[in-house]
Amino acid sequence: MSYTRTVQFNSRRGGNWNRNQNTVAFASAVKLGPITHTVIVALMITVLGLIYLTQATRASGYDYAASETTDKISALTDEKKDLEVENARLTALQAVKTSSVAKNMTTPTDVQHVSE
Amino acid sequence: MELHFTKGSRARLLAMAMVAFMALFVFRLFYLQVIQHDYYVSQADSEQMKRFVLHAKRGEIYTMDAGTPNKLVMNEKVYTVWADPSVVTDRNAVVSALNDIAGGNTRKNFSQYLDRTKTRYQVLATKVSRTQAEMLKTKKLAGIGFDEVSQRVYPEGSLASQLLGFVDAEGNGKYGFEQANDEQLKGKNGVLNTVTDVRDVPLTVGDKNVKVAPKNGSDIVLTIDRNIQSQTEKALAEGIARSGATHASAIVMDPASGQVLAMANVPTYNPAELNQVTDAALFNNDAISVPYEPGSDIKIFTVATGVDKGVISPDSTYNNTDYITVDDITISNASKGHTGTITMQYALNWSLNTGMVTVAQRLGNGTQITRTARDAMYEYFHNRFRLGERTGIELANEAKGTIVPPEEAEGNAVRYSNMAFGQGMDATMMQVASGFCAIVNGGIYHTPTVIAGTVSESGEFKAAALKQQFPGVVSAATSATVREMVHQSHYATYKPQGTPEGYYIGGKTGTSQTIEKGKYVNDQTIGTYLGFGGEVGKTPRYVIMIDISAKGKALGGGADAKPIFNDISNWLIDYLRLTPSAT
Repeated sequence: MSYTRTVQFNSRRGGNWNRNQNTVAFASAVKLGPITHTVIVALMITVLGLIYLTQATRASGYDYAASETTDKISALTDEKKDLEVENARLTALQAVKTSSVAKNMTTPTDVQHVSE
Repeated sequence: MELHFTKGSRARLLAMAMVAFMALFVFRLFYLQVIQHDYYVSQADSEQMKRFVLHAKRGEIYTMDAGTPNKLVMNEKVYTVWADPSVVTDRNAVVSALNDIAGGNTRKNFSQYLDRTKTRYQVLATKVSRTQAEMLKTKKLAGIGFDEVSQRVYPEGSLASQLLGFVDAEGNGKYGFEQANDEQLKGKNGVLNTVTDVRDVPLTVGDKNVKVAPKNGSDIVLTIDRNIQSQTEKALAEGIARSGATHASAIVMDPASGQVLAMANVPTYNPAELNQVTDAALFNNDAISVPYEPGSDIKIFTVATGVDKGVISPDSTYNNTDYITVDDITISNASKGHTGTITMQYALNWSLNTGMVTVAQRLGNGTQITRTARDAMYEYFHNRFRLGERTGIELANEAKGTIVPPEEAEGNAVRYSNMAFGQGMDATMMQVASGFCAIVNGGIYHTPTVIAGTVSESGEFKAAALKQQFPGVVSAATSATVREMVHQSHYATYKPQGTPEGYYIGGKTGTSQTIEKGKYVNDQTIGTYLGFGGEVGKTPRYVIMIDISAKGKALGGGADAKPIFNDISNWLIDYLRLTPSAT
C-alpha cells in the first residue's frame, strides 16, 4: 500500500528556534482569497441575522400565548363577577323576605330574655 | 489589485457612470436613514405603536351588617350592541337574533335603524349582559359590533339611594357618597404603550413598550347597616302612610362613635332606573342638605347648656304663666295651662317655651337674655354642639345652616329667646343628631361619619382612622342629668306603646312651625322626634332622629314622628340584642 503525502511539514530545526516553539509549522494547501473572505463574512452575518429573526419570532409567539391567557383570565374574571352579582341579587333583603323559607316562618309568641 | 482603464475608454465611462449611480444610492440612503431618521421613526411608531388605556375599576361600596361587610353597590360589564348598516348583509338575521337573545334590551323599533345605510353607527340595544353578548357573537353577524361598558349594580334596589348617589354616563359620581368620594372610588387609569400586530395584539419586541398599571378605586365599607337601613326605610314608609305625610327622613347613629347606622328619606328612587326619575329633588339627601328650624328638639340643647353652666337642675323651678316677655315681644307656650311653679323637668316634658326662655335668662342676669347669656348659648350651640356648621360627613351637598352670632345686630335677645326653643336658627338633621349624641354619650362630640373602612384586594377589612373627637362638650355629670331628663320626657307625654320594659329609652318631640310668606304658620308644621335607646346604666347604643312633613299639613312630633321612632327603636332592641335590666 502506498500513499501520497498531501501535507508538507517544514522543519524549523534548521533555523533559529527557541524553547516552547513548535518545531513544525502547518501550512494549508487551500488558499483563500479576499473575495472568499468577504463571502464568508457575509454568510456569517446572514446566519447571525437569521438566528436573531428566529429568536424574535419565538418571542412574538410567546406574546400571542400570553395574550390568549390574558383573554382567558379576563373572561373568567367577568364570569366570576357575574356570579357575584347574581349571588348578591339572590341574597338581597327583598329576595330573602319573599323567599319560600321566609314565608313559612312564624312570629314568636313569647320572647324571654336571659339576663346575666 | 488595481484596475486601470484607458483614458477615454468606454469601460472607464461605464465605471464612472456606475460610481455616480452608486453615489446616488448612497446619498439617497443617507438622506432617508440619517437626515429623515426621526420622521420615519415616528411614521413607523404611529403605525406599529398602540396606546391602550387600562381602565381602573371603580371601587365597590359595602354596608357593615352587624360587623360583616356586605356588598351594596357593585360593578357589572354590559354591552351596547351597534350596527354599521352599510356593512350589514343579512338584515333579517340581525333582527331575529336580537329579538331572540336581547329582546328586552333593544331600542324601540330598532330594525328601522338598520335601514339607514348611509350611516356607520346605529345603536340597536343597550345594557346587554355578557352572556347575551357572547350568544350574539356566536351568530357572526356581519356589521354588528359591541361596546363594553361598566355600570353600577344595586342588588338592594333603592336601599339608601339618597345616601349613595349614583354614577353618570361619564363615570362621575353624582350626589351622595359617590360624589363626595369620587376620587377615592374612581382610582386612576393605567396606560399601555406597545408595539402591536395587525390584530392589535401587544408584542414585546422593541424597546418603547411602556406599561403603567391602573390603580383601582378603593372598595369602601360604609357604617350603614343594611338591616337597620331597611327597617328605617320601612318604618318611614309606614309612618307616611299613617300620617298622610309626603316626606319623612330619619337618621340612626351610634352615639359612642358618631357612626351613622342608617340615613333614609322617603320618597326615594332606584339608582338603577334613573330614567324614571321625574323630580330631581328626589336625588337630595334632605337629612344633610336641607336646614330647617329644629323646633322643640333644641330644648334638650338649651337644658344641657343650663345644666352644664350650673344655672338650672331638673328640679329648678320657675313661675309659668304661659307667657314670657323678651324686650318688646311676648312668647307663649304651645301647650297651655301648666301654670304655676313648675320644675324644669316638667317644662321639658311639656315642651314649654317659657321654661326654655327662663333658662336663657338665667344664663344672663336672671331676668334678661344679656350678652353674657347670648355668648354662652352661642358657645354651646355653635362651638360645642356644632349647630350651624357643616359636620364634615363624607356626603355631597351638606348644608351649613345658620346660627346668628351675638355680636351681630340680629343676634339680639329676641332671637336668642327664640333659639332657646329652636326657632330663629337653621340646622340640618345631621347637625342636631350629632350634637345630641354628644349630650347623651358623656359629653364627647364625635364627628359623624359614614365610612367604616376599606376592603383590600384580598378581601380583608381595614377599619378607617377615627374621625376627630371633641371631648368635654358638656361634663359627664351634665350628660347623665340631661339623659335622665330626656328619658323622663319620653314617657311623660305620648306614652310609647309596645316598648319592651327594662331598657333605657329617651326622647323629645319637636313640632316646628314653618314660614309661609314671611310668617310662622300653625297649619303647616314639621313633626320631629329626637331620642336614644340602650341598656339601663350604660351609654345609649343608638340615637334616632325622625322628621315628617307635608305641604299644607300640621304634623306633630308626638303624634306623627314619635311612632316612627318607636318602631325603629323597638326593632333595634332586638336587633342589637340589648339585655334588659332585671328590675
